[in-house]
Amino acid sequence: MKRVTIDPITRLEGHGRIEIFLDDAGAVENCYFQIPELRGFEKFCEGRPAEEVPQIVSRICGV
Amino acid sequence: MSKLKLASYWAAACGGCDVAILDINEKILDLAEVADIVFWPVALDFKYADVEAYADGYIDVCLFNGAIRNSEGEHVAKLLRQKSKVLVAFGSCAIWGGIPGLANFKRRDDILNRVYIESDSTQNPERIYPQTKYRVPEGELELPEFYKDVKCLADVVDVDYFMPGCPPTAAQIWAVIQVIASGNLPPKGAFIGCSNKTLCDECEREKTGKKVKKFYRPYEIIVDPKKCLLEQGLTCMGPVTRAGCGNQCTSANQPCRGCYGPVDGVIDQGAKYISALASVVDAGTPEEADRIISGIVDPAGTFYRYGLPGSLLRRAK
Amino acid sequence: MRRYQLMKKVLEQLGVEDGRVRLEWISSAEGTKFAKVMTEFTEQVRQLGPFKRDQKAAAGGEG
Repeated sequence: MKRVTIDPITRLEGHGRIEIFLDDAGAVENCYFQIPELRGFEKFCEGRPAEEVPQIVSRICGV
Repeated sequence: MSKLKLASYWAAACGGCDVAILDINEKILDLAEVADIVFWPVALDFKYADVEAYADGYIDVCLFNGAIRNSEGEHVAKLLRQKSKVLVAFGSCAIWGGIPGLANFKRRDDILNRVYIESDSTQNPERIYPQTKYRVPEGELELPEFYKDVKCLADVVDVDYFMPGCPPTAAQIWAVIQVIASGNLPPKGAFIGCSNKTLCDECEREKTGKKVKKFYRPYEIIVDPKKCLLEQGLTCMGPVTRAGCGNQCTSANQPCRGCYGPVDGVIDQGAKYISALASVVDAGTPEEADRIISGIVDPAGTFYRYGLPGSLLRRAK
Repeated sequence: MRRYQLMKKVLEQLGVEDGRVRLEWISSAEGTKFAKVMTEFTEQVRQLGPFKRDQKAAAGGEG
């Protein structure tokens, strides 16, 4: 089985990787999309004053 | 002369730094005259394998933005260090952790639990967390290890220059690119694309030396657009923040949050601000001081908004 | 004093226990007081043990 790795996925915001597995005939057997990144805004915004959150979450994506 | 070879990479970042580079607009064409870009995930389709194939030192200058959040960030930082003659920690995340560095107020397990189990938009009844290695019928998949702490770029590799800002301004980026192209590089370890004055020094708002009886939240006050924000009772970090941003926030009646970090010689921006802020508190007794100080809702999260991983304590216990 | 009060609030959010920080004014003529305070404080910090991170959810956990 042949494996094709696309790492990183480019020209978009964020991190991504695609793993493609080909069968012996060269057809796609299966493919996996992975996001190898986490920052955790969901957690670290807790405890921050509401009025500060717009400035913080604008850094989720700056593209 | 052969063209410069430039690279830009993002670790734990938002892409705002990359967009700030593009904000030089048509000058990007001038950049293309003097430099070839050999790695830039947001804009060009180079892969890690391409970078691995470059000779050591092949890249003249690498602008590295983003904090080091996981093993992939550290791995790519080390790879780019090896392949680059000059490595620039580009933006507040790479220098001090930035906004992703706020995660150092929380514990690793609490973050993972919140994101993968508790969040309202998540359905994960089997409580599956991301695995660094995962067996699928076709083979094995890997994910980076999510570190306990957010780190700064300089924690994992040797850094030549530091360019602060969230993000650095386009004008400063262009100025720095010109310096790089000229070959007249500053001494190693220098902060580039910024001033060594404080934001306060460059702020045109009127200062009278007035002390503060109460700290306000934005909804409690109509800001006088001419007067010093700190003297009006807003926790503006201008006194302890490096200038260079063009005072964008304070010009829009927003108190500075310190994204350009401290000036040279200050090792902990938050601690410096404790000192600066306490000195404007107008209290006759410790009780009154305590009452006034208690009006600051989230002191640590405000004073270390962009720099907890790069501070003395590095994280909350 | 105001610096100390503000610093305590910040340290509390960062999980540094109250007992690890103390402010005293002691004049050069008060040798006995100096010895007493230092002995007390050393003992207090010893009781708290090493400043270990990641042991518990600190105030920072909610801060």
